[in-house]
Amino acid sequence: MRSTLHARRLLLGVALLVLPGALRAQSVTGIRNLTFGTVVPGVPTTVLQTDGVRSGQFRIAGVLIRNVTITFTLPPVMNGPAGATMPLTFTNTSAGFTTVFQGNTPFNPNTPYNETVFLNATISIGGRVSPSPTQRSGNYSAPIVMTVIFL
Amino acid sequence: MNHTTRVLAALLTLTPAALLAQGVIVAPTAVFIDHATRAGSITLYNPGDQPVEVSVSFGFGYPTTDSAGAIRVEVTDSAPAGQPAATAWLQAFPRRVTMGQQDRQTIRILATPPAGLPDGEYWARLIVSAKGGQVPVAGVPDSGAISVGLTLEVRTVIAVVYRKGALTTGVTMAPMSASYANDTVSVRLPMTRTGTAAYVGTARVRVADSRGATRAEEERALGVYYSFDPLIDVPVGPLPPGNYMVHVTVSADRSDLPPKVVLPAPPVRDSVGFTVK
Repeated sequence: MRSTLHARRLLLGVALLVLPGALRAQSVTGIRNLTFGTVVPGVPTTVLQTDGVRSGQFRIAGVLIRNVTITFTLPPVMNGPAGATMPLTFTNTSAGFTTVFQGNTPFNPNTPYNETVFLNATISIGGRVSPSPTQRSGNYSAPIVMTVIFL
Repeated sequence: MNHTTRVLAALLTLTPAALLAQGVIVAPTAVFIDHATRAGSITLYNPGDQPVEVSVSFGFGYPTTDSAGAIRVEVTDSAPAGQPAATAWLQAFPRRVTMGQQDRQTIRILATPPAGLPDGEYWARLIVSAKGGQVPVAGVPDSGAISVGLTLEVRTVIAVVYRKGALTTGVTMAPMSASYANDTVSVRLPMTRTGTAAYVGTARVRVADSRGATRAEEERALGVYYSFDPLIDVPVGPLPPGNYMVHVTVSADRSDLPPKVVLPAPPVRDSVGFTVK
């Protein structure tokens, strides 16, 4: 509504007045890893994207009212010792987008997501691991890639 | 302290949380290269306390819209035939670097266009990939433990625009449409670019009641490369029954880009009405 846009304009004006060239840079950073903690064979473990401790978190900063497209490259499995794998799944609400003007909005990390970023935005991601009852013990790992395209 | 250092220092002041993060700060937000200089640069900064592996590459892509008005950019390794792509003749130096904590790195972009390149604008996308170290999750300290670690990698994709010769730009707009539901006015802006260069500007949307009083406003940065029909949602809250108007102005200005890189074009205005019953 008008108050939200006016608040954004006020903040933008102050920012540009104080730091005229400062906001023509952007950062996309990983803030927190997606953490499943202790995983028990045969017991699926889910981390919600709203989990304040275990969800993965990225931050987009230094952006002036820009449209961005966010895509994830999500691994279907994690790789472990001696070729063992563990399934990893993401649902259509496994990711969330949050800004100062907008509360957490869930979205599907399996498809491109378009949003408008004003100064900062936080992207969170959860997921579900499904170890088999005979899952080999050891360390399992996989990369999550988040791509932010500035339009 | 030069301009770039001031930019980076100020950004750190605004985003102190970035000091603990994996990733890099990238400046500027888009790169414009002139045929006379054939060179540009970006500056990277690692604000974290861990080293970050950075790689730089080029792709091709530009914003498009689907039938629902959602904006997408599909970035491919190479450009389809017939596209004004600069991808094949741009190089970045260095392409790979490991940045220590609070390191700064300049990436130079050099263009070697083919001889006889026609006047025009040529596009590419610069992909900055940053990867921190893998962080395993500590499981229970016994031989049967299963521990899970996920490596984070972030990619920042920005536009690279190469310009040769005198360029023109503009947009034409087909009839707009607007509808109201769930406290939101949804507006479609079907636009087509004119001229020889992509149109870079801002769309400003104003929802007014029958007395002309403004109920809500919204603005969006635009990049119109060919045809572009975005959906712009304007939160307005509950509207009483009545007639309303949506006024749109599309102008060649951007608050996030230096004015000298935004090509001039006359503004385009249009309005459409809707009724709340």
